[in-house]
Amino acid sequence: MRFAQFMEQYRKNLTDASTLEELLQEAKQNHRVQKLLPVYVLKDKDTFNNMLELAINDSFARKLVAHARMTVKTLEGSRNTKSFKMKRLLGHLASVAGMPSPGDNVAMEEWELEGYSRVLNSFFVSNRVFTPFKALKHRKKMNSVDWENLVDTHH
Amino acid sequence: MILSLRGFDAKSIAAIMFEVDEELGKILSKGTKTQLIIIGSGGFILKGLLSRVTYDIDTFNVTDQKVRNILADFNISDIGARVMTVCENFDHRLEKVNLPLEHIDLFVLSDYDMIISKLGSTRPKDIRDIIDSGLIFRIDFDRLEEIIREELASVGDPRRIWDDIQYLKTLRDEGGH
Repeated sequence: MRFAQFMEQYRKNLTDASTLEELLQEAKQNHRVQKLLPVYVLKDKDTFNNMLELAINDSFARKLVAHARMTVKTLEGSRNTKSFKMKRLLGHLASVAGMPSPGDNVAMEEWELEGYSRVLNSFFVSNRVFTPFKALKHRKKMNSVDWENLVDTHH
Repeated sequence: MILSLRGFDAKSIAAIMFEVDEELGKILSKGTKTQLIIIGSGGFILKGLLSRVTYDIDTFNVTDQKVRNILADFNISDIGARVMTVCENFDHRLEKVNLPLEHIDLFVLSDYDMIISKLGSTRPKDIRDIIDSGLIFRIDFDRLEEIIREELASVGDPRRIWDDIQYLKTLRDEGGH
């Protein structure tokens, strides 16, 4: 699955909001949407440019645009970013975000970066784990599970 | 059965754990099992308390760095546990997840500890999950308060914790709205 497609699916699973304006408003109240949005707007140049337009009059949008760029820049420069696929994706996202760009003078907390990083990582996990081959490989195990009693609950 | 790519429901989480199990088998000694405790929305989903999906799986603290590295490859992280409200004897109340795993003893938190884990945080929090899951109607609030009074162990502003409990009780009395 391509990144843009994955971002759309992620969005649909999270919220009914579909336009960038709606997503921005929801992000102000919903921390999950807030975590997604800086990564979501990187799905293609049109979406990112639309967000830049919104950022002209909306300080929250400006913050999220800055977080999008800061996340890409931080992860690109991180020693922990070892995967070739991630590096390639980050390179693509940097180009979507028009980077390098003038420095963004916005604070980003470590937990915010962690959240955005995990949104990106979920793309790779989905593509890695949910393949027909893996489904076949684990079919016997999956069929052996009692889904109705998956957890031994205490009351 | 081809699993949907639409986020992680209980079966998707299970599929991920089978992959993790396989990778752990490459680094752990034969017969060794590592304990993993799934917290956060993954726990709610495995217990059938939420019908939504998640894209992150959070665990309680993992001390072995090699295990943490493997988990990170599957977007499983214990970073959320550092800011989680915890009570001392939560591990006595853990609930086993019944999956055929060779190298993992997989658990989720009890209903009480799931609620406690969400209380008192200064970060954006998922009180919504507690409400949407119906947990506020399932648990005994007297028992919840007793556990917190006797066992509260971790960081977190106690005033905020009690404020959150009062808020949940009010919601329960109002039918969860």
